Amino acid sequence: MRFRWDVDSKNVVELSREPFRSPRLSVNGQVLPTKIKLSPKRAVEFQLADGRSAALLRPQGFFTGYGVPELRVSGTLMIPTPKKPMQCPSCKAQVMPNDRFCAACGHQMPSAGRFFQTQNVKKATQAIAGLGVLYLLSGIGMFLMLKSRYAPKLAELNLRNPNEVLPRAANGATYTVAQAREQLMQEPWTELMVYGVLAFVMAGLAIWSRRAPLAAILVAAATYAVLIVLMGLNDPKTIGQGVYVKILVIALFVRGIKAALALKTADA
Amino acid sequence: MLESISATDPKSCRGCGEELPPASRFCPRCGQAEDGYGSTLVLNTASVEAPAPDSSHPVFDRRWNDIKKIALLFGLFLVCSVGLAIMASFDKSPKPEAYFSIGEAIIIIAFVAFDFEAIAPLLGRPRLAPGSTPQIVIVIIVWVCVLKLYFFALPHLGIHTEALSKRFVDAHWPLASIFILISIAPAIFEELAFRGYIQSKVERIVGPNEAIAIQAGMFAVAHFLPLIFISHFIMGLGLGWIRTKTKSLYPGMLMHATWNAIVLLQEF
Repeated sequence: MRFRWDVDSKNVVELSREPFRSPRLSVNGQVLPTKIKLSPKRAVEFQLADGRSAALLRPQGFFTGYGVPELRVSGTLMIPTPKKPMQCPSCKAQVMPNDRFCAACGHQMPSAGRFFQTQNVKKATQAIAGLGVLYLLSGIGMFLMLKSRYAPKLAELNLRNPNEVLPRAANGATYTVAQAREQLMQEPWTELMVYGVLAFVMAGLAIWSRRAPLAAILVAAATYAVLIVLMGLNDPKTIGQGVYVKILVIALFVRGIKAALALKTADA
Repeated sequence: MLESISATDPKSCRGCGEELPPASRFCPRCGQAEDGYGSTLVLNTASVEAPAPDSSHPVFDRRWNDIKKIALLFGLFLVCSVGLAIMASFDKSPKPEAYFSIGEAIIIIAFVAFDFEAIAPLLGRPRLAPGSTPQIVIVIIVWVCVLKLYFFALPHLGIHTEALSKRFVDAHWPLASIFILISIAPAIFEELAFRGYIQSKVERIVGPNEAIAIQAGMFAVAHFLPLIFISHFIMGLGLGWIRTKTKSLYPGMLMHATWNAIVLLQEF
């Protein structure tokens, strides 16, 4: 992982973190000789070329904070340089990440704290939209899978007398051939509908999140928690499946709620 | 005009001395207008930024605590639902339903007891704004029609739900117990929790309309059936709106109990 902060036109701070190596911090291309240990409590302190003091902190917790190391120059939080050049929200001219004003139109740029909060809200919204797409694809996948799985059984049942009673099924109930056929026909559609409703709900929440992020992310988090529990009840194996993705999504939601709340509180 | 600006392009800001990127019209650091003539000294401080979102603001802390309490209440409700689902798979009698109602009641009564001010104003007589009666009547009629239509359509789409009273009838429990556990108890405790506690807490953070939507979303997913997410969201919206209009929980409780009773009566 590499992070780069263009503090201003003359000062660049870079941090590279590679697995099994201690992180390396460089100022204007010169690697700092001291060993760096990032922690959320004790800041790594160093100086920029012009003598200003700088401090680097590890992001707070997985479920809180901004999710990126925090660099402060003379106490002011800095925005890491994004891959895509940043634009002025007012005139769309290209700006440097830590400009306080747009050089083209003079628009006052948001502070780094506000920038991160907005970013966290955006990520949570993207997570909601991502879940929507995931559910839609799962629904279609389940539908096709069940269709093809039941096709041979249905073909076999079609040859038998509809009123014939089948041996006791796994759930303890007894069905006639006609009833079993109907069940097998129905099940893929039910599955498709359930996932369709979920995709619809998530899509609606993602759209709503642009207008009322706090409300939408809260509802999305509640929905997601219920879905994890529900799927776990249906089949306990699913709780362990994709557990890292689940934790990540929950972390994005918690950060999103916190950020949306902070923005709401600051704007009020 | 543009040529004349670039001809006398200032190299450093007259306000703060910062070196300027080429063709800047404003200083990115201090917002000083750089018109190239040195005639007008306009400090671009008209747009005063809202205070940076601060995560340790007292208002933020109070709201964040409220959200955590709502999450705890919702989480405990989820635990109850999981308990119901697990018990119901072993025990075919209506006992799990009874335990579930008792569990929900204990949870919400505890929350209300510790935070009585949150719902105290809602326990008075319904107060109607003059002239709003026809509006409320229309909303109730539309609400009933939409719900009726949804539950009328479900079986036609191949979704069959177990009759609510089936377990009670099979175990020969008295008729009164069915109505208490399926119509009256949920009406009281769900109204207290969702329209009372959650909506009042959220209302102070996001405003009345979003609060209605948030509690409706939570109410919908707490029912644990993806296919009724949409119908119960609409149900929650209606009940939340009535509660906001009448400033009392009782009309909502009455509507909720009546609706559940109608669903029950259709089964006999």
